Amino acid sequence: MRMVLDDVWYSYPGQRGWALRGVSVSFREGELVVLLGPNGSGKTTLLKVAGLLLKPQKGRVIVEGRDYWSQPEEARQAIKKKVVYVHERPIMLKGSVERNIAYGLFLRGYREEEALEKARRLLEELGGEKLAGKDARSLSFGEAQLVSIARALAVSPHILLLDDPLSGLDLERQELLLGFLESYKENGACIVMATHDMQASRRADKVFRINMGKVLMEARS
Amino acid sequence: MSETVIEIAARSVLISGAATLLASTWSLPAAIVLAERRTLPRIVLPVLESMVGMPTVLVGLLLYLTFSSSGPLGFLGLLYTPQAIIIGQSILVTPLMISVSYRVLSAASRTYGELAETLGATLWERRVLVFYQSAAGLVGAVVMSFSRAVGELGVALMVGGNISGYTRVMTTAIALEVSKGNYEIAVSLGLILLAISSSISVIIRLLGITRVENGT
Ligand SMILES: Nc1ncnc2c1ncn2[C@@H]1O[C@H](COP(=O)(O)OP(=O)(O)OP(=O)(O)O)[C@@H](O)[C@H]1O
Ligand SMILES: [Mg+2]
Repeated sequence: MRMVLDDVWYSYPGQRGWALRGVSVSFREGELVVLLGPNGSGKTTLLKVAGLLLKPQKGRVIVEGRDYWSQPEEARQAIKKKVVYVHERPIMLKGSVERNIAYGLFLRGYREEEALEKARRLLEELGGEKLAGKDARSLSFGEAQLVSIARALAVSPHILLLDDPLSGLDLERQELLLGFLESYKENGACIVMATHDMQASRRADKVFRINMGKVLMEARS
Repeated sequence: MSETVIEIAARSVLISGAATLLASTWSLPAAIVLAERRTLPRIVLPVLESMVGMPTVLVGLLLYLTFSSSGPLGFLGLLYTPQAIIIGQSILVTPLMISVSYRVLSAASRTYGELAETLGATLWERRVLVFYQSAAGLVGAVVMSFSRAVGELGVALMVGGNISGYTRVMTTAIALEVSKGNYEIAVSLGLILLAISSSISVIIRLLGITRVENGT
């Protein structure tokens, strides 16, 4: 799936000033894109606009050649199911780790057992097998981060937007995740990751630097 | 007294319980609709919160004028009935219930709501998740509203009329005993009222319907 942000301006309601000031970027299938930038530069905002959660006041968000926000509601809902944003601060639902990971599968009509089984498999692949059966609300930050990434991956998004996913993970799990993402994108998915981790940005196909709401440059690595 | 304290206490719980349930049918939907909006006109919350402390006698008076035989709804014959108290108390607790549950739901909508949305939930699936994740806070809002309803005097007195065996509730019974100079009875009734309103909240927590949870 291909996505283009075309001269996007976004301002939070009730705020003066723009959080994004004329951002134009494009993501395509099979790409790992890294977004670098200091605190408050607009990484989260950009990811949420790309995640179709925030509607820009100016500019267009083009998904597969069509302007997303001018489409009818049903068409938007169908596209939205393929685009998943993972929050910077993981959000844990009541209940077990597996149920958290399976939430998106339940929304897609999976049967209970099937969904939980898939959740456990994914958890294992990301190095979180120890977390199975735990109460999600009792996890540490890094553990919760892992679970929230697994929850997004469970629904096999075409575009996966990860907001600083490495910040809480230990080195071993960072490596595991990056390896997983590299093979995941080979199936045609696009992964966009905001990070402060220079090491990770070396493995990207594309790097965008953002500062004060503007994308400064696009560097090939 | 012509009826037992237990009867009066039970009537209090039934009337105020019904009023609280009635108020929930519009307050909770209103709160979720407000909570889903990214911005609210700045005036909405302060107005709502200032109405939380609405004087109960004022509500009672306005309802009395509405329900009295010459009032606009006089033909319903509701004055001095339990139904009139239920309606009055449900109006009385509405601002409290909306403003407390709004706070709970707007925080939940920004986190759980956005999570549901990005994972592909429909509007209703999103609402279900937000409600479910906020259950503890919402029960709190409902319990607070019940306490306010069961402890108020103005509405019960003015539109209920304190009719023995029919509309007499704890607060109006207390007022009556005080007016008769039976201070001891009044104080013990008062303690029973306090016990009712606080034990309801404790019982609901103990039943394990919800656990008080911290943060997100
Ligand atoms: N909910 C909000 N309401 C108002 N302003 C906001 C909100 N979220 C972010 N902002 C503002 O928008 C700008 C960009 O914020 P954003 O969260 O996108 O930065 P970021 O690059 O993700 O930072 P960090 O590295 O700290 O996560 C900041 O100036 C911030 O103050
Ligand atoms: Mg951020």
